[in-house]
Amino acid sequence: MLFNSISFIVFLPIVLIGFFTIPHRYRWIFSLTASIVFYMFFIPIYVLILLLTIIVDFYAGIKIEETNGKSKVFFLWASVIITCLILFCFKYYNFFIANVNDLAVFMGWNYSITMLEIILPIGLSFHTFQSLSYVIEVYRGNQRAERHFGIYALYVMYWPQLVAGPIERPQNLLHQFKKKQIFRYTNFYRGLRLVVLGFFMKLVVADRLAIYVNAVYGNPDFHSGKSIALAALFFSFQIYCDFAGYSSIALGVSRMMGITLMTNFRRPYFSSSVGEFWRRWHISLSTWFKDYVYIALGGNRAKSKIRSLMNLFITFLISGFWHGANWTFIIWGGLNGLYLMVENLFNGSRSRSMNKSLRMLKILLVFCLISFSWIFFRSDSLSNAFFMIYKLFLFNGSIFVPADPEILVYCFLSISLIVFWEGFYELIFKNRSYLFNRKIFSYCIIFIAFFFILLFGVFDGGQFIYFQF
Amino acid sequence: MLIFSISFILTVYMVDAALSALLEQAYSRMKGGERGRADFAIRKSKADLYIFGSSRALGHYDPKIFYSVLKKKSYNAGRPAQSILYHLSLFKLILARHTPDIVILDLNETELIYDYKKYELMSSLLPYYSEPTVKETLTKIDSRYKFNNYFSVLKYNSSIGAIIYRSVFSKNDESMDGFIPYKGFRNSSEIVNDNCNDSLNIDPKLVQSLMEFQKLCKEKGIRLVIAISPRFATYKCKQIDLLYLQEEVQRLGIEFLDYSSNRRFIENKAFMYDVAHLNETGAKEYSHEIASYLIHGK
Repeated sequence: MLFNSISFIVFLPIVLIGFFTIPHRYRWIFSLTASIVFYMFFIPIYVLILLLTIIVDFYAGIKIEETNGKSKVFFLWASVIITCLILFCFKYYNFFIANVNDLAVFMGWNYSITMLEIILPIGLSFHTFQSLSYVIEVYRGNQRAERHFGIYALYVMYWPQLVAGPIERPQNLLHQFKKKQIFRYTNFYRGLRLVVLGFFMKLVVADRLAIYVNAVYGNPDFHSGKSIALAALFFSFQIYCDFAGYSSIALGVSRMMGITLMTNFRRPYFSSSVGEFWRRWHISLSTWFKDYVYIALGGNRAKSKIRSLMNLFITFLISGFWHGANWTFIIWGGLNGLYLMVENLFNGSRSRSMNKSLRMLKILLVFCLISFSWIFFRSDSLSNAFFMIYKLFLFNGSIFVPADPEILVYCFLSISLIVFWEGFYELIFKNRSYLFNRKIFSYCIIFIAFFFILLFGVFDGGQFIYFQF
Repeated sequence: MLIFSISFILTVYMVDAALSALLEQAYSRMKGGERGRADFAIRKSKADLYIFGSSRALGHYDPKIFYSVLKKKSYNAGRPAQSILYHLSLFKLILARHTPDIVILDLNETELIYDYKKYELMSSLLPYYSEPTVKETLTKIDSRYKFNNYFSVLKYNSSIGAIIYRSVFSKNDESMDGFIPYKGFRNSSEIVNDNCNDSLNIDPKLVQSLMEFQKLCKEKGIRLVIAISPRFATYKCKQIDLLYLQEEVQRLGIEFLDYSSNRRFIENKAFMYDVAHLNETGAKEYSHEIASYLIHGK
């Protein structure tokens, strides 16, 4: 079920009313049922895949807690391997086979393997990581194994964050399902504010920018270097608003039910270093990789600085690969890893205090570096990406103006609105939360954002980019 | 809390109604642009001859020439990128108020081929959502259009820029007859189409729309002529989409003028703006030929 669909408009009030009407001890059944219904709107049979990972990790968690030594390690690895195997089969098998086939052609072998005709289950990467996080935390002793199958199933399938995150930790989420939630008006209007702002980011900004971006990226031969530069700029905001908008809606609907999910984005384009950017962008995923990959590799306590930097690079390569089964994503991840390596070598990852002008310059520089890396992320292939970069550096020709030039006007308007809002929040509200949390302010935001959505939102069948993961 | 929430909802609906009324006034004052031209056609025009079609109709049929030859007041209701779905809806809206004598329907070779964009572009008729024919058509395409039942201001989604530019700043078209000629010559490359595709993905809804168009004309006693404008292209294979369209038009017994490969136009670069459009000079020549046919026949 998409958030921007009539089904969701009907689904949400039913779930909210049901949630607070049903006695607390049965709420987990209701929430789990709602989550199953939500997921089955995509491809119903795939709920069985979800059930498989739930069963495997639920029992693995119990066994990990009950055993010691090699058995403990065995159950951890069994759970990780089975869960990752499911992810590999659906997401990476065809990529792997395509590369093997290409290698065979290159080596002159008369050999090819058939690829699977398979649709990627929606949100597979997200709930896989959420499940892995659970078994690892149980193994590390940071989380008690959940003995209630229904509650554990709800942890994996919790519908607001099921298909595109945030990737939650068991310590944050599990206990909230057991706590009796009472309807609080404060939660309701703050949640509603997040939902409306999420729809604003998605419909007014992301989907609007996508019109221009898709036109340029879909036909790079036709477009000039200047158009490609503009499309790259637009895409930086498109991907941010698409994903952050979704996260905002997820956090908002959850907040209405009294359940707090982790903040996933903190105005990342106001970062004055790449390190800071990755502490503000897709926080749930970057902390996941930090805790379970980077630190497992040795982190920054490796034997040498070089080794430590390589751990960082490898982590980002894997992170790129998580985003998609294509070399473009791997290069994107590697490029960000390279940025961080260079930053660590010369400056260290934490921003030191600096004057406003220098900070502004650094923010612009980081924005340019990240926007450049997004070219790989958005392109269909490496050859397209390199072709676009070549044209970008030529920076020739005139800017592509669509037949309906209003499109460009709306694109700039939507970027201005989001930069204004985020700038306002970063500079004024961040340190004055008492202003931001006043009921009247929330309703003003809801009111204005709502009419912007009606007047400027794009309603012609868009999907959240991150669903492909 | 309850009173506050009710007050908030009531305020939303009051602002929605007020804003919608304001935008409707401003929208009807537009005298140019795609929206302004369509609105004029729907609400005000009383021509004897209408031209419907996409950008090729818009730039190929000069109403002044039709008036000088036929002595019939003409209006060009062409709109870029639109399909038979749109032309039919527009025609129905005009017919609700006025019945012309002649209709020229300029179609593309791929008019009856399925393309999801043809349906998505129907959102340009949103300002007329309150009309039953438009409401029925749009809600069949996408049930999300039903949101327009609850918020009137949604009809003007993505139109604010045009409304301000055309209505507030009074940026009008040069002429009020709907014709927007293409001036000059944009490129010189001819399309050589050697994509020999045998398969057709005919959309039955588009065929149905064409049949409905013909039926409406027959009921109202309107002379209907279907035309395909010249295109700067040569085809190495059989154009099965064009052949299908020809067969369908002939089956319905509609007058059909196929200028798609007319050598007089496509071999004369002075007439062409780009691969798909005639320029102003070419449009005048073409309009003369069509007007001449309407009087004298073949």
